[in-house]
Amino acid sequence: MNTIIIEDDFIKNCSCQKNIEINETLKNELFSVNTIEIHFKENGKLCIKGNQKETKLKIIYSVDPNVKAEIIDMRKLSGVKIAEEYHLKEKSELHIIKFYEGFDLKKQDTIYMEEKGAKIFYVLKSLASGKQRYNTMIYHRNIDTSCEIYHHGVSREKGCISFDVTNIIEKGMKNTYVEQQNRIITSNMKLCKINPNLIVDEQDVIANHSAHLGDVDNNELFYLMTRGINKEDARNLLIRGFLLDKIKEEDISEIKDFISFDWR
Amino acid sequence: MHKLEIKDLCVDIDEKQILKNFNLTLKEGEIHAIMGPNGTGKSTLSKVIMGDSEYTIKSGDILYDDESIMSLPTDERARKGIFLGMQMPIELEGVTNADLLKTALHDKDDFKLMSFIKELNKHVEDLSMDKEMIHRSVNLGFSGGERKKNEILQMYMLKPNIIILDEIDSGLDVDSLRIVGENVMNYYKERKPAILVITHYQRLLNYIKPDFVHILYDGSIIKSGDASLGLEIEENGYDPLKEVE
Repeated sequence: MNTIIIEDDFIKNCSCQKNIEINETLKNELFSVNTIEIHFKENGKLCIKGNQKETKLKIIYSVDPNVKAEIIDMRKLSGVKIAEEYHLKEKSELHIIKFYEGFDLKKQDTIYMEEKGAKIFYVLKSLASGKQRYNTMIYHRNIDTSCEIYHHGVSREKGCISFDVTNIIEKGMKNTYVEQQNRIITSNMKLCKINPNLIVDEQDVIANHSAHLGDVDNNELFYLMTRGINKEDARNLLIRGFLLDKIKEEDISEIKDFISFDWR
Repeated sequence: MHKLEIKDLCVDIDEKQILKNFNLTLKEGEIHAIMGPNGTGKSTLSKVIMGDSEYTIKSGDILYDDESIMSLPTDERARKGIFLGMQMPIELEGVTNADLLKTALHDKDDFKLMSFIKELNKHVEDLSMDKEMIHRSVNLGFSGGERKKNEILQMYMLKPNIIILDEIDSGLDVDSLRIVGENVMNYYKERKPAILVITHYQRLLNYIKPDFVHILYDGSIIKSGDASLGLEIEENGYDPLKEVE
């Protein structure tokens, strides 16, 4: 598989075939952060692994017309600020799974559904032991675009997570489809926050959103405990299930190898 | 011989009394059926036996082999060998059947992975289930019949000695009802557990043949008898019994 290894704010290792073009611009007098550009010219799958501490980084993804791109992005993060941009062209499809584990993080994702028929399936899984803030903006700038976006977080110990997710559909962007789901599992609701937004100025749209903030479901816990599983194991099983939900079977082993699940 | 005794149990939920001085003893090798109209406390009874914290026990006791289990959490009750097959088995997104059963069984001294897989496959086949369901999220996207079969599959794997089946027949078509009924009876023949079947209908009792039938009405047993009581209910309904009460 095409793979990029990121260490702090630079590419430590890159092994990609020619269907994916990678460019790295190091910070200079004009740009204060390193920028990585990832360009899908043909169908392909890319695995990003990273370990980033006390740093800033910008990543720009673009997917050419009629190209199907898949990304699995697994990073351990601490004290990091990341900005990411996505540019999707006509009838392009991007399937992206992000699995982040760590401490403080501030992340800004901006997704541009630039051309007709662009599709994105975006899943974020966050396992937070520190303060993590995610701000995601999706601009539907053409007709027939589709965005399925899932933000799933688990706050551990003193972890606090904030999800701000906004889909913007301007007038004339007909036949747009949006499915936006946000959920955080936490035992301390005061520390976590979800702001789901849909800004829609067009009638011909299907747009759904949901937000759920709270601990694991008591009925689910009870069911597992009636099978002889103790409360702690039952909770871990439910959290693991939540984190692996929406992830393809073929990617699960990769994620399990990377993330140090206490409950694995 | 394992035994479950429910003594003078009074149970409330949201300050409404559901069970009133309820008494019942289940001994290994016995099959009991509880029948009754909707809202009489049948499902409450099954959940209270398992220690569901939603309910408040006002008085009474539940004993397993002469020892009170009232202070035990749900998982410890289950590990003693009490199993609840639920009326509406819950969906667990991302948790596969295999994960659930492995987690439930892996601490047992005699757990061996290969034997576990072999046994699981055998029961899946006996229950005419799709083998892929083992690796799918528990009950997610399952039909009513598949969910109930899945409960029976878990029962087989966990090997309980006290079995409570709460409306295991609801949502089952004729063929699935037969498969579920036959599998419960096969387990009974193999291991001779105590079984408590909670149902509205006699049809399930054609397969799981009870030694005792009890009619639950307004939180108490108002009549007990043999299997013929189930047939009587089918013919006349519950109204004549309510009048007697």
